[in-house]
Amino acid sequence: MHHRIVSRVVILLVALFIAAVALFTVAATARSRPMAAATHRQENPHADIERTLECVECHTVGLGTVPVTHRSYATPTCDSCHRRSPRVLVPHSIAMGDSRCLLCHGDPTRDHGIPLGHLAYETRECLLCHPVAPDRATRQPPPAGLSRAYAMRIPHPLGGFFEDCLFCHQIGAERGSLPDNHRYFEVEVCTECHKPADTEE
Amino acid sequence: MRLMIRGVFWFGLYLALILSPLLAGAVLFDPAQATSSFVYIAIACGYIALALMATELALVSRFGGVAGAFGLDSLLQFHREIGITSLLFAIAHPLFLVIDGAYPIRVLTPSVAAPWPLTVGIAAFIAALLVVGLSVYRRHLRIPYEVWQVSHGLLSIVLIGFAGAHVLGLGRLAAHPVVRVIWIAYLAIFIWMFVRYRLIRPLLQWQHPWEVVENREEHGHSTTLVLRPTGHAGFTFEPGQFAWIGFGRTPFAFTQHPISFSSNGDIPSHDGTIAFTIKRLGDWSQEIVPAVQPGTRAWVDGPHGVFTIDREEGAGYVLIGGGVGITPLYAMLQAIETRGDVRPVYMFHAANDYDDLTFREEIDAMAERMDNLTLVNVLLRAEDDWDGERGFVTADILTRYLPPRLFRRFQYFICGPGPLMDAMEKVLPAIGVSGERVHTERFDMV
Repeated sequence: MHHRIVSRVVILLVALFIAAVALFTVAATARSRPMAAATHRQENPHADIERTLECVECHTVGLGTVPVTHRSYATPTCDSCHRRSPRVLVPHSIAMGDSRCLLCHGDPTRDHGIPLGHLAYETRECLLCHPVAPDRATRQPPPAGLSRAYAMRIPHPLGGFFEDCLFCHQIGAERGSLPDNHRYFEVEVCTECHKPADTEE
Repeated sequence: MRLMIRGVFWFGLYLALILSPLLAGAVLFDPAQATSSFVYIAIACGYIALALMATELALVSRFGGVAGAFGLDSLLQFHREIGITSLLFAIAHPLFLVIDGAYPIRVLTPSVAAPWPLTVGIAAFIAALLVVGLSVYRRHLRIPYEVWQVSHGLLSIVLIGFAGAHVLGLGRLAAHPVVRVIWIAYLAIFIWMFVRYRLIRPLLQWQHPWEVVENREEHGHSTTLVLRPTGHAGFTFEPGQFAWIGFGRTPFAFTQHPISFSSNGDIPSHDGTIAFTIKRLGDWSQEIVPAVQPGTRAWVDGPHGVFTIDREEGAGYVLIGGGVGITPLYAMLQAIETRGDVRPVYMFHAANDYDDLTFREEIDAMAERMDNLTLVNVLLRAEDDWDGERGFVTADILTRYLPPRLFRRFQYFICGPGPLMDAMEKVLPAIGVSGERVHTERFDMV
């Protein structure tokens, strides 16, 4: 008779383990939702010519560009999962100089913002991998580099009380704050990039 | 009651051991390791599979507390069924990774370019398939028990070693130091259990050798080996228990066999001599056992088992045995006679034919001596002049001999071929016997 009890206990345990799997999945999903999009499998943006023999020369755990789960991988295995995609070329002139890329691209949450995995790079390193596209070398960058960002449209009039942008949009203010990369802009230049919503460039 | 408390304790500990790595992984989950739901399911399945596999050895490594609470035959069955369960979870692990698309299928197939944590994971998976597959299909594949036993142990080591390396080298949750420490502790416990099972335990046995003093033929193609302790007092045992026995110069051989005692553990001023009766069924019992000579060194690990009248209170006993399954029941009869226990005893002794009735002369003699013993021999093939029962042990035969009403208060011990025990587990409750009073002993697991 005991062997039937044992079999029933095993069935009970299987049900318990399946419930544990489900609970774990729900818990992990709930905790990871904000990060899920950022950590999805990335494509390899490098063309052959700019790839080194050792991916980990640049993509180190210390710089946060290699997930900790990948720490045991050898470089030749990178290609196994990360398909190569066209590299990103700079679509405008770099008249401002290669030391100021982050002035416009420094916010990862904005259009054309720096990827999360690039946060540890120095500005001067950008052009090592992202040269200027030859056919666009003379084109001027969009204003402040925020070509399609919602912030380029000002949703209110600019007269009277609203003439002084910095009255509301201060660095460090809780509401209406300026991006950190606008720290050194003068208030007079705001409207060079940001137009009222009903106007065209 | 104490046994039940021990059972609840060990079961709770087992559940905690299986689920704690997953629980730690959930509590200490680093959002930077975020991924998709299917990958979470795959990770959880892998964790449960490895935890189940890593604790499998504990179930069968003859820990006194665990075996005493559940009985080694129940633990062996649990070990077998949980092994199959763990393989199902192990299969689900890569399956959900493929469903998710998190890893291309080529990464999950062995190749030179694959990262080593994946390679060892694949090796562990193959080892798991072999461990479970060879156990389930050993008879179909005609693999000798001894060969299977050695391969089972070696493959299990490979499986746990590779699976542990896979989790530590690749694991998303195991990136957290606490989770890593938990898995390393699991691996350390597994190694300790293996060392205890294969090294320390034989070392202790080495100090307590036994010597074969008699090897005699029995009816029913069986052999009785009588063993005497050498340089020590031996041990006492409860009627119905068993021990693992093996032969050789040292007790370090991988192959030991669980055999029921056929002697009486209750003899006053017992000289320590014990006997085992073994039916010629496999390579070991057909070739090795009959050839064992008096003077041969033997190693005995026991006593084990909860299939014993000493642990069950009842108004009487019903012993139903078939083939060599009569052995532990014969030991019970001897103890009942020695103790002068006057409670009614009904023995139903089933066999293929008259020559298969192992211990028939001895049990007939006991029936003559014991007023409280009712002996019913049931033969499948009987001569015309046979005056006993014919066919199988059925509800009709049982109810014809057992006392009305009182039979519900007896304890029932059944040992024999699987079909006999399966049949009795259906028949006895059908005639009104509570399932708690029905006890079986099954070792024919692989």
